Amino acid sequence: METNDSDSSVAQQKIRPDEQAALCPACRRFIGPLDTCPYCECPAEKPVGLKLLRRIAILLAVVGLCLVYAASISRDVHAMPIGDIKPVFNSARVRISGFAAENTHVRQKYGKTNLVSFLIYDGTNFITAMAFGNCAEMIAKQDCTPEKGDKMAVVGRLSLKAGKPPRIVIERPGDITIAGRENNVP
Amino acid sequence: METIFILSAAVAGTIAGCAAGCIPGFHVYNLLGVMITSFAMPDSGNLLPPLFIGMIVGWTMTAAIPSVLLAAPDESALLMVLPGQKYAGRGEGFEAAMLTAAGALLAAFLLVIPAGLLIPILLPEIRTTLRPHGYWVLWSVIAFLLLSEWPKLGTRGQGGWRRFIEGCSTPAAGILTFLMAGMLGLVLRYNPPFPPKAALHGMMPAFAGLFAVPWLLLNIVSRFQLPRQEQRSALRASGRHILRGTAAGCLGGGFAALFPGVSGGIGGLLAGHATAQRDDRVFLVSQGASRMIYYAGALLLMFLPETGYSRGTGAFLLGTFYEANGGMNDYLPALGSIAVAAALSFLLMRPLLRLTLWCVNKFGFCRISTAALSVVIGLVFVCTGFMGLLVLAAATGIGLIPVLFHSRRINCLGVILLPAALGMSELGPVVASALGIIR
Repeated sequence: METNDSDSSVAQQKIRPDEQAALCPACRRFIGPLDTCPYCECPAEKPVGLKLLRRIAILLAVVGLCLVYAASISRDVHAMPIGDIKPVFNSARVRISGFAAENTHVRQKYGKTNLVSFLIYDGTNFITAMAFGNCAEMIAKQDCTPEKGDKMAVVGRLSLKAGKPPRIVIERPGDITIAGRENNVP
Repeated sequence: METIFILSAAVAGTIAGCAAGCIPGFHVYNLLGVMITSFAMPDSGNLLPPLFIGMIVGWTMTAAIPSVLLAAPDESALLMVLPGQKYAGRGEGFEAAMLTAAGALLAAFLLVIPAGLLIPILLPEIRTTLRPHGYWVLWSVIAFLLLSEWPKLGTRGQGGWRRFIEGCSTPAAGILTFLMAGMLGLVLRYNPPFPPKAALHGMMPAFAGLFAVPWLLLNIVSRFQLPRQEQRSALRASGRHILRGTAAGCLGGGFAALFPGVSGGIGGLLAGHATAQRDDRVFLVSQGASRMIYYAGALLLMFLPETGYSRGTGAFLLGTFYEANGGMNDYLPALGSIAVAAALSFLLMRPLLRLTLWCVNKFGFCRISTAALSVVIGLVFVCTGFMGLLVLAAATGIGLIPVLFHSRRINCLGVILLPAALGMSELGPVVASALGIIR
């Protein structure tokens, strides 16, 4: 008996203070990060900060994500004159309004349209609007391609590289609006 | 004369990158973002590449220091924390950081000399072969990431539903983290709530919240005290450990550098599984090598002659301000800058380790983490404003879930993986429209 008591006291002395939280307060068995002992069902004492942080984490994640989502959908796409575009606006989602400076250029590969591009002029500068892959295919099929002189607006992401003219990448056919033409886009 | 300017820019960038690497939770892209936002860019275009390369390589080397000693890693160092923490807990954090640096140095050597000569020849063919398959490779990586999450709980106590639910809690937390981070990534990718002037820093609040802030918060909340660290003069690792770790790391980092959406952390994870790593020393070396190949290798690709290849945020930021001519006049100085930066940053590792240990002993874990947290929050606010703080808060909540519910933090990479996989499958705009993110 004395040996068992001394063994348990020696064992307890070897446990660091920050490791006490890993032991069940009732049966002193190792339970790790669990909140309830699986052996004797005693609630385990965990640092208050940690418990609070768990609840805050879930709340913050859910509420924060909802607020970010709400902020994003409530924001109108920023309308930007081409002449105001600067390198720090790279990858920004913007609306460009102007006139088609030339007819649309369509490139096909293996019988499928994989690139649609046209030049837009808004009185301040020129920008090339481009669409790739399936988006280009849908634009070509739905006849959303502008002709020279068409008044139009496009929404897309700016792609700016040093030494190259600015480009705007269109991601959906519905992001092209041509004045005086009905866009048959769902 | 131009060579001296290029070398000076590389050295200056390396010193800045090394200093940034010692700050827990601070990413080199934050530093580059601040430079761009404040328009503190050098006038001479030729100085930009060596400056950027120096900063990225220097940071990659010294970021091992806070990862091991202060446990606030970036997304590519997620897997380095656990073995590094073990070493730090035993008073061997110095050795752990130097093992990682050894892997990074050897990887830089391999990148400059053999890979540097072979990449211009082999890469165009590799790219042509891999390009049509990128989307399903990425989906496979996602599937592997989620399926390889193993239950950590549910091993004790009486069997039954309770134990089953406890066992499922860890993978469930991992999947929840991935999906929530993925949703955040979709919002930031297709309709970010920032004004156009903050678009360049769009992902910065998300990454800071998912990776940096949770660890800094836990450092502040926890009662962990770093034991006295032993400063050894030699590594207790054989050549076999170093070479094996470097080979695995180069494999993982190379995979990450080639495939869009795959980061250094994921490359390291895949390489670790592919090469059946068991030894902590091999693991630490491989993580250093993986990070170096991923960050420096991805940036090097933009200087490749006649390919126009661009990978990674570093190339994205640099490409906005600097046009690579695509010839040897760009490529060879880039290789040279990597070599100089890697060598210099490795030499600075030891003094910086000592300085960090001195700071930890003098100021304590909690104060350093609080200061670093203030820097991160301040940086996010300066670059992205109040909306950036909102994104930071949401990402922090998501980033705390794996830490507090015992799943892997690598699931937070859903913030780039999910949008990238959907984008490469040409489903991104469709899914974003269905979720109401874009109208």
